[in-house]
Amino acid sequence: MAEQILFIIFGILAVGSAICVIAFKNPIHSALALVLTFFSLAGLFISLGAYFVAAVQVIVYAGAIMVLFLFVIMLLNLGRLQAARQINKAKVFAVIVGIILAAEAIYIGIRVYDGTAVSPSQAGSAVVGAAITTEQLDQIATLESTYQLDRAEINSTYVPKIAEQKSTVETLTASEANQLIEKLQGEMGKPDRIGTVLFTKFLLPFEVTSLILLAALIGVIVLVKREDPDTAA
Amino acid sequence: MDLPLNVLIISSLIKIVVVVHILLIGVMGMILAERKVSGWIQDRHGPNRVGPWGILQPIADGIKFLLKEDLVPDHVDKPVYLLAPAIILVPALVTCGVVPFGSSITVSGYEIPLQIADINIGVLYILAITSLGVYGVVLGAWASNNKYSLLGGLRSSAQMISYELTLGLSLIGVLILSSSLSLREIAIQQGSYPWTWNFLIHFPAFLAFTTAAFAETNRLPFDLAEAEQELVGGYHTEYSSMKFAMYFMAEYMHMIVGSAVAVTLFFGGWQFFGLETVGGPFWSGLISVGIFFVKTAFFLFVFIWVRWTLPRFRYDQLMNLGWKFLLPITLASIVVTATVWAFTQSKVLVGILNVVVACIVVAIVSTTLVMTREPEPVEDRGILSFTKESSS
Repeated sequence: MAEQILFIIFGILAVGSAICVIAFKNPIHSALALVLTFFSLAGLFISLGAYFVAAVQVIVYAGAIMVLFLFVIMLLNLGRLQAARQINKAKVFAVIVGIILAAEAIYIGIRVYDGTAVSPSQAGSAVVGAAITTEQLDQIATLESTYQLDRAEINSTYVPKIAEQKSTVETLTASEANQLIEKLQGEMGKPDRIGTVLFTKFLLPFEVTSLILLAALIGVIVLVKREDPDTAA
Repeated sequence: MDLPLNVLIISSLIKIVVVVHILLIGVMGMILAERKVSGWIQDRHGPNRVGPWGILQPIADGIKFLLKEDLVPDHVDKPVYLLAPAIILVPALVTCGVVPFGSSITVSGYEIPLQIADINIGVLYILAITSLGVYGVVLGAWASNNKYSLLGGLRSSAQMISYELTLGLSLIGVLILSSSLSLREIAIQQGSYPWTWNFLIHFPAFLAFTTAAFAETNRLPFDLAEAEQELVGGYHTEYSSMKFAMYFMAEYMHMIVGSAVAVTLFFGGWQFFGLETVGGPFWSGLISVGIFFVKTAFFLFVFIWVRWTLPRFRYDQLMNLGWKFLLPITLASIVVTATVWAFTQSKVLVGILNVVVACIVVAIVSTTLVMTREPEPVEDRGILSFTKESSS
């Protein structure tokens, strides 16, 4: 319940401030609204139990990238451009892309509402006292494959915390299985688990990403460095 | 361990109220201490007119700030101008939420940890909040619509971004050995004896952390953002009355919180020679809080001491120190700590090799800087060239 209230608050804040980003005429005000958007997203991550991602979101986006944005806006003194036209030749293109995006969002929304797409709230609708359902078993299996867990570890570490007498996932009731899934999702937000997954299952994508960043850095240095013999001295 | 919900809420509320008030009272104490210590360092008496030994001076200062005319210049960007002094206070206030200021206290059967929130990403949380500290300065500077303010803000943001890297990287070594991001866990792991605390194991990283903390608080010798000889007042030139006082308070709050974090990460937190376990479940908690305050007070004294001892850095010196010395030292420290810890698990070896490698890095960097230094251009600089020739 508390999570849903938090979700609504942060969701409204995120959407509202995102609208402000494009509605404000002063670039600094827009940048500030974008900072608020990033904060609301961090809040959403926290309400999902992903504390690590929330902290990284604030460090990288709100703390580093937006400060650089502000820095550049202040250096170029873009605040003076308040009277600039906000509508330009790309208007037609923007309208088309906007309509496509809106259609996608509505489609996904309807699918989630119908229950045909995966939504986390689905797990909450199980009958109390019934045995564990196949959907829940599937969900646990997905968690296992995503986070490099094995069934033995879940059975020995996490199941006794939910129900003291039981030692295997299959013996749990449906409501206990929901607790287990919630607990697993919460545990998996911890930094050590994310680190393990990043450096085992997703090692290649992780290293490729860092190479892309390195290439970008070198590119910036090459672009900035002028090979002019007169000024190079 | 797990408290009932009502006990949790009530104890948390009490802790929040107490911690925030201690922080505000601490600011008053720091204002007095700064003026007194600066007086002693300069062979003066310091303030001694208001109250006995001048101890009511902070109250007089506060009343003065409140009663001054609150002037909002016409040319400012009003919403941002009003927001900036509030923004700068927030990071300091919310960081203290994760700092453990004592072991735990047992009240009517409930063991209450002396920390507002022990979250499992504590160190990351602190880094995230610290990275927001720059907003108050930059926004205040820009909203003032004043060239001197803007220059101060630009200097400050460049400085804070540069030193934030050092601040974050200097903690990695500590995290490798603790294998936890929870501040309470890191503090407990260091033990009660000074020779097992982190500042000996990670001595170069500790020096880098302290230096970066000075830079992040905009204190001398890193106060280029408000260098009054060059920038009138820097980023707070256009602020008056209580808004200026909020910038002023934020600086002291950042110092207090920075000292508390340094004590937690490098000086064993609230532990000292087993004193924190003396006297039963109630008094031991209070004693641990006392130990924590004494350690923090020592750091705060160092902050004041350095301010009144060192002159201000030049801008290029500031950037050289940050990028060419502190950053390589912390990077080397991470490599050494990780390698040694993976192979030997010996904290003594980590400590010794950290210092050795840091010395090597400093030697290499300074030799390179001296070797590649370009000869100074010969030019007639009037009276300056005369003094230079006579001195050489």
